[in-house]
Amino acid sequence: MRNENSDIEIIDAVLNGSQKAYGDLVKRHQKYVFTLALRFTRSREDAEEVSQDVFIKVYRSLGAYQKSGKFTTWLYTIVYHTSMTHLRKKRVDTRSIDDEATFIQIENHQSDRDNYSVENKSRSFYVNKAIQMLLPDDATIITLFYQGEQSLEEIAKVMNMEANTIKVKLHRARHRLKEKLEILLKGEVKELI
Amino acid sequence: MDIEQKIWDYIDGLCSLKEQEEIALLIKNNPTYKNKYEELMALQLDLQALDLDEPSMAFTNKVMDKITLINKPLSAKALIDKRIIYGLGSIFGILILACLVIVLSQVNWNIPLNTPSSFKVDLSVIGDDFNISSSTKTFLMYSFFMFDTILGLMILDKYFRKKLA
Repeated sequence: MRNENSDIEIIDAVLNGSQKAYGDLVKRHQKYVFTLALRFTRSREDAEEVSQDVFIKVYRSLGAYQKSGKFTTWLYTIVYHTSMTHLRKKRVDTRSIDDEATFIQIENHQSDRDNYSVENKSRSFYVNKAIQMLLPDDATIITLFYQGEQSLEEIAKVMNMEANTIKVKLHRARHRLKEKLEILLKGEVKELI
Repeated sequence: MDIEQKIWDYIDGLCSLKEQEEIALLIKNNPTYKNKYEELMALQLDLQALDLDEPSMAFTNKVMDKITLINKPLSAKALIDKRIIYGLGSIFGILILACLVIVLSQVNWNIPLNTPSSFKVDLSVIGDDFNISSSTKTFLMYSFFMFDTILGLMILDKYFRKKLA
């Protein structure tokens, strides 16, 4: 339990009319929401737009939140669905969102991070870059598991899948991530030689 | 199950105590397992050390500005008009009372006290004395079905609420 007010206490305050309390909730979760949205949108501007939509949706439907479940699981479910909707709207062709080529193409158009100098490139830079190269579902599972601290069952709820499916998907996602990371690191070594 | 999957399960703490001991032993004695474990642990540490991305400095203010234009959220309890709940409750209460009155008025209270221990229902009472008009029967039948439908809807509602929670 955190020292500061728990999510539930803040939600109760918001439902009792304190709009200011909602600001605390936004501040507390904005990084997670933004990171998750970024896994889908691959652009900071779009991720920020999606994150804003998420927090507005959350505010509107806060009364419907069942306090029996973890707030973050409910919040990430909204992030997941809002991001998916955004992605569908953004797509100009009819290709499946699971089409890896689509994302490799998008990836080539970004990002600010790619402009780092070689000296500044830490291992976490490459891990982040490798995550960006994954399919959105793979990147989401990894983000929820490691950064969102969600269990397999909670991720299953967020993505509306079976926990066993998530377990298999997590395994595959890490395997793909490892492959991408190896490719990136090999490329970097060659660049240095 | 391949080695990698086994070791990931071990790292994530998803295997049984027995499997955990077996894999720990394999990591200790088998170089293939040991190398794989070290490789996966390195990735695990990298993933755990990842920082979260930050939105712009004005993010919270932007959200709060938009929220001021929206009506304040209400809890689900506050959204439900209590008069509707009391109204429904009274209807069902009256229906239950009416059923009870009808049933009690049809009971044959003259069954002797020295009746054998096994409980017997005098079905002939229904045939001869339970005389109600066909329209009342239809009304009762429809009421019964309506009651069942409402019960069914309530169960469905409870099921979906649990699923969504």
